[in-house]
Amino acid sequence: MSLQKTTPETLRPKKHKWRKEQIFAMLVACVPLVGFLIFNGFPLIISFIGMFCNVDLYDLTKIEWNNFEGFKSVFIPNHAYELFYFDLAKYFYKAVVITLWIASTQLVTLVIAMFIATLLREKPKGGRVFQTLFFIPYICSTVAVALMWRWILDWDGGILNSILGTNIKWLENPDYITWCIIVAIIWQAPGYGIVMYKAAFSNINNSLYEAAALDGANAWHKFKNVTLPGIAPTTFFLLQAGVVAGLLTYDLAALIIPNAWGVPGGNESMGLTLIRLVYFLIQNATTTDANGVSYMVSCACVISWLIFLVTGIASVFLFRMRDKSAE
Amino acid sequence: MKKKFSLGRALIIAVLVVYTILLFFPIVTILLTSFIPSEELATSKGFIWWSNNMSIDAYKTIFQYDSYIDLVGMPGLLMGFINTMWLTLIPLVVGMIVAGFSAYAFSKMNFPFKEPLFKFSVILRSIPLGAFGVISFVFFSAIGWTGEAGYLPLLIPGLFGSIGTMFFLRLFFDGIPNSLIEAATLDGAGFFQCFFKIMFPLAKPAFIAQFIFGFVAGYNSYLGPMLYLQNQPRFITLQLYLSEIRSMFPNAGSENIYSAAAVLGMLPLILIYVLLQKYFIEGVSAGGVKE
Repeated sequence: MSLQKTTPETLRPKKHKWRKEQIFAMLVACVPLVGFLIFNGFPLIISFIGMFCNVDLYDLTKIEWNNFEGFKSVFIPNHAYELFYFDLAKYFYKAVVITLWIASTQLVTLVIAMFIATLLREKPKGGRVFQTLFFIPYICSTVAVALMWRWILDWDGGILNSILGTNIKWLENPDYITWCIIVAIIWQAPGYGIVMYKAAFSNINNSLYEAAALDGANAWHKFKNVTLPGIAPTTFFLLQAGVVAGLLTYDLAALIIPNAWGVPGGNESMGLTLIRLVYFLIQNATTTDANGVSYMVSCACVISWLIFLVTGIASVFLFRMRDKSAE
Repeated sequence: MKKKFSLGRALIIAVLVVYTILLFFPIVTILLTSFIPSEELATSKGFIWWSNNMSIDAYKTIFQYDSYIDLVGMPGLLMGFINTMWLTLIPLVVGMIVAGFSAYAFSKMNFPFKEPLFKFSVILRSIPLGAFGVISFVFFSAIGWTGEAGYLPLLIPGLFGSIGTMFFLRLFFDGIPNSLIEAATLDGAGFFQCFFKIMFPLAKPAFIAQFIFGFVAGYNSYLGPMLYLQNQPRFITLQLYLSEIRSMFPNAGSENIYSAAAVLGMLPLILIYVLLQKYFIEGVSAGGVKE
């Protein structure tokens, strides 16, 4: 760290000093890269090996080829019973449906954000105050938000049933629970999009609107032909971030449910997202000594890589769309 | 230009007001419930809008009776707040400075393989690796960073600074004229002096934006602490505490306690946001557009 205080220039050949400074700059510049490679690279390598081998959690030198048992347990119904005590494939397919469902709500969030931002763009009275307020749900912690929705949706004493005059157990019914998670996400998420869209609007060249007005375009045409293309890069950016976040949903799904899946007495189809499945497998493998724990880790690796592939492909696709739309 | 009253404008405001009500109605319900006495909650069928015996007992309960007072000598909420603060601030501040050094080197200095290294970093960083968040546990448990040492996976990776922050700061640094650095170097300023005396003050808005982002993320993070710090009372974080509140107060009519806890969990960040909203909004929009 004391390299810049090296001996006076006159004592050293100039060229040598240059090199030292350059190397120092290179080292400093690479610190984030090194951190990234260590803390993402190793988990990646281990989980990759873990897909095909049983890895001892506490002694990584013990690696044993597992003959694709991990893949088989995830994809082939009833196969997992040969290795451990539950049928993973059944849960896996359920989780895929629920996760995709949750991720697709991103579109609703986007439409709400675009709509509200369009209204704010008209500079209504108190627009700044509205914008400030609309961002608040976004910074609220998911844990607190889950506590909040659990009380609102409580079947006995919750405000929703009181208003509707019903007596529905929203949170204990597999038919409703995914909707509850979706409502909570839609409540929380648009704030970010509103801010982003407002910034995107301000970047659209006003002369485009003037030109459109000269051509006799009405408000809808202006929106379709000037505004939508102008904010397309933002839309694809938000879509990418949102879909990835949706596919990785954990917190809300785990916290909003009273007797969640994975808990004794919990219902099998309650808010089961893919990441929750991975967590359940890892937790079982590290805290219990049930049969076949090393196979569970292998299954968790398979599911993690699968989520990664889906998020990766979705991201590449949406990044491409964004770059195209920005041209 | 004077804005005239029109039906359209009134309609816009009406829609915005409705949306505001929809957003804040849930928050208002927990605020109300947090002041309702437990006895009334336990016996009532249906939501209680108002009580003549509103009290702050629920808030007092959180600070006076919970199992953490015996375990760690202070209320869990307070312990959680302290832990959340250091687990968030240390990696955030150190990481930001480290990423700042890196951004400065990439922006203002010359060294071999500069552009390839930068490109490599940025490409790596655009890969969405969130799917490995849970499975990383296998790696950290293999190197012994779990259990008593479970705070290490939450603390150490952040110290290296994130490539995202570096990228964001470099964009900002590129806008600062090189002549300022050259002049300072002629006056004998070294790497660190140039950074702290010139780059940092000029790029303050960028640092503040990054800080706010990181702080909100750290304050609200749940999955990481749950993976690594569960069952470690000494290291409980605020979000972990909130997630445990139901099992800590299982009696009927404790909804006021859960509501009070949710309010206490949300309030600090909302207050900070209201005070610093300019930076929040700027930071959010800058983070996306310059991506």
